[in-house]
Amino acid sequence: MNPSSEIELTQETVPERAYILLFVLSHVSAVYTELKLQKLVFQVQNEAKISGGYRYFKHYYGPYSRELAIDTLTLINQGLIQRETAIGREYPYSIFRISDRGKAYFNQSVLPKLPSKNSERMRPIVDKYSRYTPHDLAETVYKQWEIEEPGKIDSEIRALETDLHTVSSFWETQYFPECPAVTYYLAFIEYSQDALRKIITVEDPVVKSVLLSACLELNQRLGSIAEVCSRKSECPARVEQDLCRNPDPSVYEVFGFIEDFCERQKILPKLWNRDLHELMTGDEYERLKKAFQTFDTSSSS
Amino acid sequence: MEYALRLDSDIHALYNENVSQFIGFVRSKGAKIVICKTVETEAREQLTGAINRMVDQAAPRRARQIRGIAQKKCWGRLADLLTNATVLLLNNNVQPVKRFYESLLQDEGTRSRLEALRDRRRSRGNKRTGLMPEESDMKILSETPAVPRDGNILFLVSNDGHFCEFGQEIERAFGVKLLPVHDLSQFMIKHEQVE
Repeated sequence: MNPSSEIELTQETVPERAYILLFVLSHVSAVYTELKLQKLVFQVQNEAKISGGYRYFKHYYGPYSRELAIDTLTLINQGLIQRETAIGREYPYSIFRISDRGKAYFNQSVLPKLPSKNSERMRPIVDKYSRYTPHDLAETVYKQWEIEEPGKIDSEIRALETDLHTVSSFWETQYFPECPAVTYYLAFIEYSQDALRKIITVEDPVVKSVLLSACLELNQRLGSIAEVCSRKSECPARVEQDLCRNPDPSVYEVFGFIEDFCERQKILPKLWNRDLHELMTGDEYERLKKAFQTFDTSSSS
Repeated sequence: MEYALRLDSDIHALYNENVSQFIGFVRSKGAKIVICKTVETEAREQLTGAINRMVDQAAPRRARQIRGIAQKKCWGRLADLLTNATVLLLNNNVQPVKRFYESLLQDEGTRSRLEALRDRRRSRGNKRTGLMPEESDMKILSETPAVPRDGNILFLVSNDGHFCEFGQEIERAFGVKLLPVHDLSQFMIKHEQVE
């Protein structure tokens, strides 16, 4: 197929989140079955902590995303993906490949905008799981995300709330007004605690498990930084940079994933969009207003 | 830094409204905003602490997310301001500024104005303030005349009493026109009418 002979594709016609799907397909020769495509994209976006990915929920065969199913069809109709139907032992199944037009679009329009760190994080995950059979991948996803064990997820959420409290208490002792790193760490922890408290009432184990996993990662990273900072007096931001092995997501990226996930799943708005009135009493809000209004502006330019 | 200290549409000082409008006004007139490196550095070094102290004062127990939100919003505003301005590292010599303020202390009239300024600041809780401006403020004033003018008029926009209350004296001594923040609205109206 000659890409130039086709209608011009723009960012508006291709959904933004579809870059994850195109990334996956551009790194494998083919994906056999829709089940495997669904699970592969799920693993890639959630293990690599890629913000703005697909919303998944628990379906008959584990995590499933309607958005991904729709995007796949859209991209097939746009000629970016090819779908071939093959006959299996019992049922027909689909084989998905990126087309030449899809490769050209990916290389010209997606790759230049894709942060190299995201790309580096996604690649090994695609490599790893693309070797699995559809059945093995589905099994792995079931086990890894504890989809059949909602009670276990709930008890892990409660345990994590305690762990976050411990890490938070440490960072509270390290806090001083001039330190931006500790300011943000404490805000991230408190937001995650709020999100976990809300998620416990959600029924879908897929949604719960993804948030739990991201908050565990945040807690683990903040705990590792705390361990170093408790032994020697060092800037937490610098310790974070030293501990974070590229292309690992930084604390800020993990938190970005958490708040993006919470917003898209309607658990909580992003931290920066939270209503101040929800976070403080009326008296506190009035005091804050007054503090900003009466800040002594007479001594600086 | 003060321009950055606006947390919400509901929580702000009038200062910010005036400066926001002024930035748009300056851009529409094709004029330039210059920020001395000293001012930029001071803002970057002090903003985090200023925000956190204000939030802690208002909501000491439940302020973790609020601190984060406030930081993000205020730093965003500082970044906006800096993208609309040229930051210049300027040569300076603080000695003429020191001599200038010492001369103000010698004169009975200007000395009493300096004393009144000190008393006002102390009444607002700033116990460290003296009759002379802080070193960093003197540095800022010493840098201002070095801003390249290309034949244009140079205004120093400030809210600092040590500058604003001695506008005429500063203009005579350094050739810089003082433009207090509280006069920005009038300044904009006047210049719109002239055109």
